[in-house]
Amino acid sequence: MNSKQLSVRIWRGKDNGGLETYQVPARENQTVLDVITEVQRLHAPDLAYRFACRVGVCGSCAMTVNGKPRWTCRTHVKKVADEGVLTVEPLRNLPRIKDLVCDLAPFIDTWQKAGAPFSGNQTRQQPPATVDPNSKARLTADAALQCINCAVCYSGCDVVNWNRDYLGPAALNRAWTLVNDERHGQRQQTFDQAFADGGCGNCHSHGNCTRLCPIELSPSQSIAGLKRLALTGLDKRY
Amino acid sequence: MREAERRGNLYEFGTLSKRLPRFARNDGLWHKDIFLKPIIMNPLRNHKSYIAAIGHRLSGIALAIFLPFHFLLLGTALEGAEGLDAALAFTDSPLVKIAEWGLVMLLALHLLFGLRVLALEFTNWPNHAETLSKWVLPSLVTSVFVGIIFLVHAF
Amino acid sequence: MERRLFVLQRLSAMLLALLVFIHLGLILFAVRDGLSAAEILGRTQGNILWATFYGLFVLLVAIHAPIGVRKVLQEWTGLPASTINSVCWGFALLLLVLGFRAVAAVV
Ligand code: HEM
Ligand code: SF4
Ligand code: SF4
Ligand code: FES
Repeated sequence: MNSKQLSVRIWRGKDNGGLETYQVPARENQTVLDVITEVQRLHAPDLAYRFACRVGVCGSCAMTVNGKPRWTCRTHVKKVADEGVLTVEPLRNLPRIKDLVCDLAPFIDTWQKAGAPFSGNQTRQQPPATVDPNSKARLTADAALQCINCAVCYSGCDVVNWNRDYLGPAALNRAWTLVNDERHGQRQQTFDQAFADGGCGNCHSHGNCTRLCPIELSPSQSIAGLKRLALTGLDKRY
Repeated sequence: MREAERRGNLYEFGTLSKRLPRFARNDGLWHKDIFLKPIIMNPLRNHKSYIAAIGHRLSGIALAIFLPFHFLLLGTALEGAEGLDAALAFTDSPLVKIAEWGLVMLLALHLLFGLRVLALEFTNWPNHAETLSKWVLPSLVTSVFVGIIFLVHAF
Repeated sequence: MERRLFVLQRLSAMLLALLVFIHLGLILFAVRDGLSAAEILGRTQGNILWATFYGLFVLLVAIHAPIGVRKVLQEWTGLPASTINSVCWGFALLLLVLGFRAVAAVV
């Protein structure tokens, strides 16, 4: 093998597809997304894949790279290539559409089921709520807030893999932010939904989600927070 | 390169995995298809807290299966000490001893891994998940040690 | 319901941790010079403390184990939910009956 070449094995087709190998030049600095784009430009114009921002903001470029779900735009080839080979597959735990593209609808559904919609407890006539940025609840919510719905954690969670009714880390992480949000009018409902069938009781603290989240959120901590509330009951003071 | 390529070609065995129990599957990724590959080699599973979770689960299942038999054994004492002694004589056979040794070990393991889960879920301090992953190896060692003590005395 | 089961399982786990610790210590202590019925029964018979200890043990384990097994079955088998629930109820009853029978036998 030419040392200046990189073998990229890319999933082609839908469920009954297979891995196809392409050769692209190995460069000093390239991300997995760069490589996929190069493959599409040079070898496989019909290759389907998703991306938008290319800088880790939108969360649409998540794929399985050498067995782990990642943002391809923020993953350097050098860090993940296994003996000069890169294997790129669609995210697991989600229905496939074509090549590297998955249908994210089931993932978005889990957010709804986990009580994700925000529901204000004030009318537009009232002044905006004053939230103490240093209150414990706010700091707790802030720590889990930056999620961009990329589904990396959902795809990496074995419990989701085993039990498709499980809501998964991202949705429950969202529920945790709402339960800690004093402006949310339905904290109790959100909490109840997060603990209904398919909810927190299914998480076995494998911690895959936290290990994989590209922005280092800790969904497993958020779920643990909800579990603690199951013992103590929801704090009704605010 | 060779190694990776060889692994890739194993994809042909993909359909085999449809016949695997659910926990051994990995939903369409090539890694699952290498069905003899131990859990530890799976890139999503080769970390301590996953190994602890699986160890906790397998030990829990083994204990659950064993417990009714344990109760049955003790229940033989209903027929007086002779009943229990007869049953205990049965447990004197080396095979049963080995099984018991395994169970004592698994009970210790389930206890230690269980404490870890409880600490993960119900306590909260900086980096606790990372720190608690250091609990895994000592737990394994301790339960093997407990098993050895049991074995040494039991024979 | 899920939430209640979760709480029950974790609370029983906390108590079991203590009981299992004592139980393990006792096992290691008791097997030092072999097990005999006389020895076991000598320790337990007529002793309210051990009777309570093992009674509680049985109760907790009959709560803890079936709830745990339920999750395993849900995740690792494709059985319908109602079947799994029945199996676990059955298992809980089995543990209760055999467990209390055993406690009754040795005290
Ligand atoms: C030493 C006391 C014990 C502690 C601290 C303990 C702790 C736990 C915890 C925290 C779980 C939940 C694991 C999870 O969902 O991730 C669990 C699961 C389980 N336990 Fe225990 N347990 C103890 C004793 C027992 C005993 C004596 C048995 C068997 C008769 C048992 C059988 C199970 C089973 C079958 C599971 C389900 C495993 C799973 O979901 O992965 N446990 N245990
Ligand atoms: S900690 Fe819970 S949610 Fe996160 S990967 Fe593990 S089981 Fe899934
Ligand atoms: S928690 Fe992290 S990994 Fe999961 S969806 Fe949000 S950003 Fe992605
Ligand atoms: S393309 Fe937007 S996060 Fe990767």
